[in-house]
Amino acid sequence: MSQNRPPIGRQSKPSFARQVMPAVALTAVGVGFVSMLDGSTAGSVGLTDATTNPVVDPNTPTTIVADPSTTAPVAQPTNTTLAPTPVPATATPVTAAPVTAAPANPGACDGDVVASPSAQFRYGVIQLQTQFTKANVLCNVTVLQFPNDRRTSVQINNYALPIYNQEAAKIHSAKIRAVSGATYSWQAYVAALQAVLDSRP
Amino acid sequence: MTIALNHKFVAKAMGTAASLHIDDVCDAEVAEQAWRSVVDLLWGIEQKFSTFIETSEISRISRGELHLLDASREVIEVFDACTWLEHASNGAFRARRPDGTLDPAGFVKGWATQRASRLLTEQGLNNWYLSVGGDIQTAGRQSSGELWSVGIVDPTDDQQVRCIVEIPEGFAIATSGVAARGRHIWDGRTDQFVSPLLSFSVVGPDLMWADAFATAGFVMGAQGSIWVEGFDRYQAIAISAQG
Repeated sequence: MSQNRPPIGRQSKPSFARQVMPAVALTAVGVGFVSMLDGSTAGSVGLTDATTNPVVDPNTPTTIVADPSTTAPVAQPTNTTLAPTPVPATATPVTAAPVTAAPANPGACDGDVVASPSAQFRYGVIQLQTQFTKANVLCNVTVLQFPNDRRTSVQINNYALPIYNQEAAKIHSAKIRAVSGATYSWQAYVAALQAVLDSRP
Repeated sequence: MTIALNHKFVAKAMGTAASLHIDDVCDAEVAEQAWRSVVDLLWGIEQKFSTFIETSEISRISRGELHLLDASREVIEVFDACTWLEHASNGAFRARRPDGTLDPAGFVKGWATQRASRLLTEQGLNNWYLSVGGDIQTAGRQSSGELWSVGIVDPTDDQQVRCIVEIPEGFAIATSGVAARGRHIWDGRTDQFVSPLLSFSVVGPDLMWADAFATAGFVMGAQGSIWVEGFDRYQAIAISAQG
């Protein structure tokens, strides 16, 4: 048994220079990374815990179903104005939503596109883009800005380990091969992320 | 005979799911045989240690039918390690329930997974990971040549990954948290089930210790990371609620 035991305690501390060096080097790398990723997509992997509000990649907008009652939980907070009264087209949409060039049709979702003001919610800043039919019926909601994951903070004392913050990214990230978390029961396994990884070819 | 690059297996073991991913180019039969040996070992350990099985040695010890010193070598080994850990963690880790009955479950899973891992190495496999309920021992790398990357589950949403860790070759990772089974970790010092943390992961060379340190470190809360990092090559990742 005893040969399995890890050594307890550190015998001596590394010199001050050796303690500071990695921090300096990592900061330089971090600055490089941030400048590289600046303006890039949300959910990018970075070495620093990005506290800036990510803007959702305009090329891949998260689209929510047309029915306004199903826009929860994002649209749930009452301080967003989702009233089906389109603001005149002076409001500049943040992204060019993929407006379908469908023929004129009263039910078609081809009316005004309006970006809501960014609103601060409990979990961060949310900005929505809404679209209306010609009859001023809300038909499409796109999330332009989604909160960064601010509910939790990740703390790691020593940066010897390659660790990346994953912001609001799903398991579909090709990078991950396994997941570690609080133990799931056999019954819960089916719903656990590990099951996705086990079944993926 | 079928040669393949990736082999994946899942089975029920120790009350959870055991998953094995082998990224070696090998015969499917070789991979399957290795997997069967892993499952047999895990099931055998479960028969000895489960508190849910009436005839297990642990149940018999708890009922007073078997003295600890008359137990099998494995049971004595586990309790030896648990005793050491109780001291090393200053009581934060305990292999007894608040009512006094033995429950080394917090230690056995990681210990069993590490033992099962040895079988894979003995059978000549070099690149794989074995996960038992999220306690993971790795060997080598992925077939892509990258290190095994493990997502740590967001404790506030178990369908999301909070961060990704690249596991150094041959290292293990284990996580303790509140998410899946509720608050199942108690503080041996106060007999209460509490922690200011949401989850606590430990990466290190041996899964048995990574798992045990995760359990103890989670209970310690803010001091857990510092305690874990006092052990050479062990590293902690704590996730807490942001106020």
